[in-house]
Amino acid sequence: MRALLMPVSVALALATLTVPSCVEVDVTMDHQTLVVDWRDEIIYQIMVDRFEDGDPSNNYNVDVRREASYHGGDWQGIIDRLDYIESLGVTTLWISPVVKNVEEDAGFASYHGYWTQDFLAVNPHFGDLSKLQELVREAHARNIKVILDVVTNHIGQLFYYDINRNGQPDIVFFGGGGPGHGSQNPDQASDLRRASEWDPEYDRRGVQGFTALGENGPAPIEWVEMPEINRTPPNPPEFRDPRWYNRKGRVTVWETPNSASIACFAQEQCDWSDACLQDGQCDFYCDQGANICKPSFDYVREQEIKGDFPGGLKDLDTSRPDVTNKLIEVFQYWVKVADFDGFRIDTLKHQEHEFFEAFAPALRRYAKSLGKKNFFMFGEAFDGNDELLGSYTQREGVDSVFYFSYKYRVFGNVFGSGAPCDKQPWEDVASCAPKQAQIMFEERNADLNGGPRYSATPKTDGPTDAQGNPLVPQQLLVTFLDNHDVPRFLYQYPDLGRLRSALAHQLTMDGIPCIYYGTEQNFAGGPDPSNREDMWSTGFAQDGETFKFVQRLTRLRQSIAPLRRGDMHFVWASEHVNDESDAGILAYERRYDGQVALVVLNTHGEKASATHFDNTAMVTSFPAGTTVTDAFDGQSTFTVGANGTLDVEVPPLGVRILVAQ
Amino acid sequence: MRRFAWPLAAGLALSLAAPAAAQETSTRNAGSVVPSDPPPIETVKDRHWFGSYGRIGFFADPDGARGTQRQIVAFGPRLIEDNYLELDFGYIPYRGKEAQVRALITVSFFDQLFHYDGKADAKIGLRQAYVEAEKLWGTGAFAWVGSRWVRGNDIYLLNFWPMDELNVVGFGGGWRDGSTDLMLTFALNRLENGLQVQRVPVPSNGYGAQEAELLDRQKRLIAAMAEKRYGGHDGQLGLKVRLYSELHHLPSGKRYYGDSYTEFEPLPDDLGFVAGVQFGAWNMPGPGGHLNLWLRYAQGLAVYDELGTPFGLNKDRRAVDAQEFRLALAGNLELKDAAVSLQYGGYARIFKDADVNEEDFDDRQEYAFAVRPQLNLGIFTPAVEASVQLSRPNGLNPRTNQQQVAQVTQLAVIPALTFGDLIGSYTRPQLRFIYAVSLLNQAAMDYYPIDDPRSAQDLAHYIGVNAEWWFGRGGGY
Repeated sequence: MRALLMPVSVALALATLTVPSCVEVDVTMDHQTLVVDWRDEIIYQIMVDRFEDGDPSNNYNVDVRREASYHGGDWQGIIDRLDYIESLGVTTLWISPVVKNVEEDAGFASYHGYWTQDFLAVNPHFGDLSKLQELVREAHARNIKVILDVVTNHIGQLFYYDINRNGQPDIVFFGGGGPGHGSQNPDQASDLRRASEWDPEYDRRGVQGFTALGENGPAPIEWVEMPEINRTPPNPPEFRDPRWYNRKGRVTVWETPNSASIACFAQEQCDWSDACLQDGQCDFYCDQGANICKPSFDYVREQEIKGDFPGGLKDLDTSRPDVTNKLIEVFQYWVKVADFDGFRIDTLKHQEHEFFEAFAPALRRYAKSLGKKNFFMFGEAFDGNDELLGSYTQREGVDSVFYFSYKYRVFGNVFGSGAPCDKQPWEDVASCAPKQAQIMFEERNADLNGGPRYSATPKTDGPTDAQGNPLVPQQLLVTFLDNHDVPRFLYQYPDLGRLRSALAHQLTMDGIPCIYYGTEQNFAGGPDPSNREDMWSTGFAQDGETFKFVQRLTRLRQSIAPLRRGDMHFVWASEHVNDESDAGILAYERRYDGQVALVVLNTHGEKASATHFDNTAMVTSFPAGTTVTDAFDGQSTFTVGANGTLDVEVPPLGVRILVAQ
Repeated sequence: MRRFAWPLAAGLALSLAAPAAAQETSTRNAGSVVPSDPPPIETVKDRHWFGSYGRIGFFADPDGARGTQRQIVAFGPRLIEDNYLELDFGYIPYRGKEAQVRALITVSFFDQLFHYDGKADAKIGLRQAYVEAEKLWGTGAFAWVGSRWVRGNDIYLLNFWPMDELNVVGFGGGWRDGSTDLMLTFALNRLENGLQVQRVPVPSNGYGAQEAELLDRQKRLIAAMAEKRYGGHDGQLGLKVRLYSELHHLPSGKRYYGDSYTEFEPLPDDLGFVAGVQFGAWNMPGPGGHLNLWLRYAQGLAVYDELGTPFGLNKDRRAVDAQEFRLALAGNLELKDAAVSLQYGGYARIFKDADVNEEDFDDRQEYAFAVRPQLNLGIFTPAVEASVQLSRPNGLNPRTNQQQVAQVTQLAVIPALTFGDLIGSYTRPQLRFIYAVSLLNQAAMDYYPIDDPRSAQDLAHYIGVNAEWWFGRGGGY
């Protein structure tokens, strides 16, 4: 029997040392208010699939060679790289949508997360719910907040319009095309019509069925059952009610003329504008100068709001209270189970203002009831129309929007295409002149229906500062140079100096800066999907010049309170764009709690410029004789002259951040 | 790696401490702990022999549907398993002073019956085809080459070999005598799972395309077993202890992207091992009774078994962090005076895959236990069977986002006719009627997708008949 003892002891030793442990999963989250003042935050946008692959076990249908496929990034990957994120100095993560998606459509995968199939299930490509919770917990433990990207406008392409009523999705053709359509057959007189039942074009009446005998009423919609790609009817099941969708087909009209020219003049209607003639609405007007017919603003808005988003993303009828209430319910769920600190709301301009005036207050109340104040919601209205952007901040709508107009007019025109450049004859101020920044700032208060363009009225239960004083949308605009929907800054303006100059402005101006992942690594991808590069290809290096540049700015923003919370006061915004002494100079003070930080930027790409023109120098609020130090380079000092004048020279595309010693 | 190194060393030590032995003990009647000795060659009148295992029949639920068993653990009760057939064909080509040689071929047919589904087709597996020479030079040494299974004792009621079961192509050898078995097995496999082999069409030198294997990596296995038996002769109590170890190794390779001959992802090499011990007793409490207890630990590649495809890999795309622990028990009582037989068996299994996730639905503890008392009233052998399956994942069920303990309890009544000289638990053939009912808790129902009807059924009934047999399986040993 002694021979038995050896194997017994070996077996017991093995078992004792190596038995895997059991794990209790705690799915409850402690909700708390982490944000003291949203102006303190710097957002870092992460497209989860492209950031870091921390868990190959969830790599399903991954193909890193194809830009439109899943690449393997996941929530574990973000957890693994929190050190990097923290080192960069950003304070809030905006992560791409987490819900379960249609896997693919027309050869494109849903790696981005915007093709919802199930509003309440996680996308298994990124992990499970407990992993998502772990990400939020780990981030919160470092005082990094997490914002969730949500889509309330549409679902994925889960149904088709059965236009020919044959019960299968087709590309349908009717008619043969008459002599006027290239045919030599004089008897072939019918128009050739083509429609994709997946994605037919907009029809105000609703997508119409059609047979060889003509139209036959609204086309029924058919849910698809393709479980292999998760193209199945949506969840929760309430979303399977066809009446919950507008069913008008895809948006085809996008042009949004300036508001000054949107008036519709009946006498200028194009002859072929049948819709105008039939129902009296003005859908188009003639741009006689260009001799083309343009859609009216109202018509564009109608399509944007009621049409399917391109790609066949089916538009929810969010004018219905039941739809609104269900969307409120499903997104309250995510606040509860994952303790998010805010929402980034997709396709804002494709929904009615009234929807957000119900949705946003309900979410604020709910978050507050969980113990989370300062729940922040900002939306994406992908549009350069400042009025349209601002309109969504009114009343009890969203707390903020992406400052798209500023991205185009200032970050693009001034910092991307800035001096040396030319003033065009029709311009009062050159579009590339720094003065544009001041103009845009002042236009935030331009009249919009009797109030400021961007709301200056606090929201009920809305964002507050550290003392509990309300913060208003004008103070909280989310600034950005680029994102996943537009080409990278460096793609449009392939100049590292200009990128860093723009970053310097973004990280020293008011609002909440949002940095798209990879900007700090000089990513230069073109339009979607090329602008969604794999972050892991960089090795997460922290010794690159742009990384260090951003890092230095984020640290300054954190350490100098006026750079975060201060009011903006422009002290020099040059209109000059060529060889003038101040060409390219933009200078503004950030004033907060008796402190001042003066930021002087030179957007000129070729010469040093200074804060004077002719015999006029910049006047600051610093008392005469004050010595100010450049906090950015850490060594330069300047002495303020009489009446607060200060003449500072800044190298091409340089920045000075001056604070009193 | 250090976490891996210690058990690996232990496994190697076990292997080296018990060098070289091959003992194929098992037949389908593997509940017996008595190794099947080869029949004396002299008594084989015909050098050919035939053996078989089979279970053939059908089931229906009360609605007349076929019904499927509710199994939530890796190895559940076998009572309602699919049809299955094995055919053994053996031949003794040589017997002499230097050796006795036999060849064995086993063909398996998986669940597909022409008279049931109307398809003139079959799922066939060639499982065993090997030649073994034993009593080499008049000693206990033996050697074999070919394709075969190498396995020990099972838990019959769960159709589960808890410690040692390998299906291999390779060679082996060892020593066997009346009280000692030593075995070493060397094997390779190349599973068609995309991780070990990849074929793509490439331009031929002339016209058209021809197939090329761009990925070709074979898994290497080494298994070592040592068993010592004490007593057990003439109906006396017998005891045994068996030590068992496996090493698995997969070399590195490159997997090319589907439509590219130049772009590839590297596949690192991988490693794993098994270390286990079995304690057995037979003729306990009397003839026909036995008790086996197993303890088995696996790590890395070996966790997924030799024919399994690793999943839940770590960030290096390796399985080295995967772990599995098994504790199992099986036994049988033959109370001849009371004409009662009692089979039982169960196991606890803890599994953790190699990925980084601590909270992981794939990682779990499983428990299964089954007991089958049987009355032996001549050839009429009514039995009942009770079983329970428990599964406790370490993560959230993705359907419910809850951590749930799933349970399936099954009760069965099995009136049967059994034919044999000594009727008992392991006597076959058996013709049987089966009524079974499975009770599922909500967590078990939630294992099924919401659109699967089983996700809404907390009760499942099965009515069926089948025949089970085995014979001639030990003829080759």
